[in-house]
Amino acid sequence: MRFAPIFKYRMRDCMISMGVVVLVMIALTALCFFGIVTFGQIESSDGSGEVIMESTTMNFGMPVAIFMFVLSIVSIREDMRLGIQNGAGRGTSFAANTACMLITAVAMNLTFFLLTLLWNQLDTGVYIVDIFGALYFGEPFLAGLGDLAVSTAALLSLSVFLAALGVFTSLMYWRLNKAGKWIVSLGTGAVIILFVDVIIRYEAIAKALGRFLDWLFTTPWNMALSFAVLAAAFYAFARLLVRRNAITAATA
Amino acid sequence: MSIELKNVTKTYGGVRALDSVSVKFGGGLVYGLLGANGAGKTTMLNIITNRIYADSGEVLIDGESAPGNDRALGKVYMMAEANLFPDSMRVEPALRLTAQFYPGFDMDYALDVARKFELPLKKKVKALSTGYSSIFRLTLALSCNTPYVIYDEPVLGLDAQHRDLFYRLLMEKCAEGEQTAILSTHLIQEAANLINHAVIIKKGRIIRDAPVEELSSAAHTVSGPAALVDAYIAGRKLLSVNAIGGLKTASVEGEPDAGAPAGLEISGIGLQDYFIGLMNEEEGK
Repeated sequence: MRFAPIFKYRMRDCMISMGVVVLVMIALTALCFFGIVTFGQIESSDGSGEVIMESTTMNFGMPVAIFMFVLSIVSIREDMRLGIQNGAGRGTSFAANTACMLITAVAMNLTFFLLTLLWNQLDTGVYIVDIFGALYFGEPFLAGLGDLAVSTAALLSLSVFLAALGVFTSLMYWRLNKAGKWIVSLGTGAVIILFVDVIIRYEAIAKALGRFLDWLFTTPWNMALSFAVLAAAFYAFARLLVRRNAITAATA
Repeated sequence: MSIELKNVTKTYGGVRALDSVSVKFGGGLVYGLLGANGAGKTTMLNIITNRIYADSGEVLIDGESAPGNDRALGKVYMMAEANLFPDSMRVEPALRLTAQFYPGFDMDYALDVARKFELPLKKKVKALSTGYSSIFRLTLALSCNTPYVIYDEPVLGLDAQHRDLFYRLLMEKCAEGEQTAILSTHLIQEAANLINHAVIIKKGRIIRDAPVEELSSAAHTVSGPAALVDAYIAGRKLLSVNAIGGLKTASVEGEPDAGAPAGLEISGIGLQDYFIGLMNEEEGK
């Protein structure tokens, strides 16, 4: 079975990278606490206009999501090359990479969930901003275990979606020739502009989109489900892309 | 038990890199895959190892369809010119990682080969010079102990001493008779002693697929005074002719004439001479 060596190699690499990110985030949070750096500030006043409290903010969600996106982009081609060099089929290498991305996403989200819980106990004046908290609970700082767990589940879903998008993007650009890369790069921008134009022109489409967004923002579970479906779709497309592409060496 | 290609075709743009190629490699022999640049050698080897897909045709390894099949692909190790190891990986971890894929990988032997070649084990694979990059890859290929090993330009960038060492190690390995080796090289003369069976490819088609003895006995070289050589070769099928001053050397297809006139020197033809003669013949030179 050639899954295990690729999985072990990639998993070790992912855990090292994750460890570095966690340490950097802890260090940045500590720097926030000491007022050396700040990512955002909240001022509270007593109504007379006088500031009575100042707090700095930190965010763990976006770094987690971006980390997964970057990690998937840089790792998938490497794993495909390593696999084919050592007699592993494309399906095996792809499965090993996917398993590593999923496990890393879970480990990463769980780590930051625990770190947030721990930080909230310390009453430091540095608040961990939660995007899903702001979107769904009307509260950018989640302290309750239940709310934080739901937010973490949504963030996990977003992380996995971005990992799938990263894998898909990396494999697509690997497979395309130069002209194809230009067409896709410019075409994506054109499709976005066209989509905005279509929404403005056709009321029915705008209303349908509105209904979807209403549904999406009803509960974090709807967002999590949407990201999960998108992740599954992008992983399926990515698997199709790698089915017959040429496995080429990295260029200097 | 063999690697078998059946009617494999591969086209790049409008160019047919392989044109309905059917060939078999097996029996614990050392195959010489010979051809000019762009003949389709590397394309064929990349198709066998599933680095690229054929447009049509089949690749079987020990009777099993190879593409995407771990069990079949795991029986073949290819030492390719391109480095497929991660950029950040160092030599020794790369050897240890490869050992995890191949149960027969001999780590002690690999370290011994690396020591003989003075391969720097702590260096990053990416940072190796062309010669040491070849040594790194041939160390892996020699140590993996798979039933089939493919060497694509194994001595690229190697000095004469290292080339000689590699040929000796390969000869030792092949003497065990358990491994079929496919050697794709332009240095035919150097590797000729190792090769049992030659597969000659030109413009994507196999033009010869035979044991080396058969190819050697299918032609001979005659040299001597130009007039005598001309008389000897009259009416015979020529592979090549070279003339210097009043002397001439010709490679001729078929058995040597027992009644050749005195003054002519007749000898067997080497693999490289046969190859050059065949290429010239094909090009109508």
